[in-house]
Amino acid sequence: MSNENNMKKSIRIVVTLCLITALVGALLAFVNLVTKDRIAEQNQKAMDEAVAVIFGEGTTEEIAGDYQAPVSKVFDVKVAGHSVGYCVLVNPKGYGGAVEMMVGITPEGAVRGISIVSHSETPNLGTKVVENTSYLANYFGKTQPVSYGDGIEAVSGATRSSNAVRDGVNAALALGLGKKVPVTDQEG
Amino acid sequence: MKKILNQFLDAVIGQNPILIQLLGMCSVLAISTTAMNAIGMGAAVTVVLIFSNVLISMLRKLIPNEIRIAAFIVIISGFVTAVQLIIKAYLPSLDKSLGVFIPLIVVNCIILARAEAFASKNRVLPSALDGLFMGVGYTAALLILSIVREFVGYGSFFGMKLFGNKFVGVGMLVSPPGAFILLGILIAVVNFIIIKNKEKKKSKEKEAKLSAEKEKEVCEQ
Repeated sequence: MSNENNMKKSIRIVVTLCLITALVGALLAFVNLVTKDRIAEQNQKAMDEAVAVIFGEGTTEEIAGDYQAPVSKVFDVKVAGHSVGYCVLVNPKGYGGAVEMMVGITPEGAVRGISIVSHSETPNLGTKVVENTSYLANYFGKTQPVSYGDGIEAVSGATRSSNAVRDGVNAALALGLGKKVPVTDQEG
Repeated sequence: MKKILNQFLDAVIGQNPILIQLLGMCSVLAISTTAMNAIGMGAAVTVVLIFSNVLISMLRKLIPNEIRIAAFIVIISGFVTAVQLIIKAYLPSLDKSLGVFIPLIVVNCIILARAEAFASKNRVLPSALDGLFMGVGYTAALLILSIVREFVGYGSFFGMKLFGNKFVGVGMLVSPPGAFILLGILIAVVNFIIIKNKEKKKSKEKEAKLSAEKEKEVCEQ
């Protein structure tokens, strides 16, 4: 008798938890359905804004390929059908996690601009690097991977944030995008 | 109506989740850097509190006691994920600044504590109100803390720069240790006021009793 009761109880527990999970699952499926397109749109918008900061205008076309971390995506930036450069989305590791940033590369293979898409660096320390456009501008025009000393230094107190920016730019440059230094066969 | 007002005052002041119950401290310290963050986080927590309280209260007779915590967590995490998706879709800048602390609402003890202590024992409407009031209490405490931190740390109020660009903030208060110290001070001040008020009330009650007794005596005479 008690065995039977136990069985009943167990079954009730399993069924209830399954029902609740199914209910919550259905709710999430619905919310996901409603917000999915909008989230994709917002992500696209964030990318477009980052590209617009560097190139001013233009549409992006993703260049597919297997990229090694921290490079995650490469875009060909086009104005009226002509390529005006590339954008490389990199997410190097900073102090508070990945620093997602867009590195713009000119058709000649030089850094044209850097725009930070998202970061979680320490306020007042790491932000001295990632929110400081004049510091980031030190990288503009570089064609070869950079190490500290050639005109660029880490910001004191924010070494790891500085390293993140350096690593990100270097990873983007190492792809060899642009006409002068064709290293990979992925560029157009 | 009076009952609701009492419930409100009790939730916001008497049992304030941050200042009195000291629940969910982790995200409080991390998120209270700017007033806008505080409002966003407070709103997210309030919405999750209301909905999870309502659903848990509705299901309270169906959920076997043995698995109630598991059931609560499933429900809470469901609502948190929904809120996160909605914030991502409609308020991407808020999503950026709150980051990982939105999904971490799942493990915020305020919500589980209200589910366990209130929603699983009360009817739907009081549970909804409890969620709302607790959320308001949470938001209020978070807002006070973050306004002070934003003012001292960045020299701004709701994102408006008050002292121009030359202002150098106190970095200490922007980082979590500074928040910890500030929160301690805030808790001390609030408790001081509450204790003073209680003492006043007590002495007033005593006076009222005494005068009532005197009146009685006068009447009897």
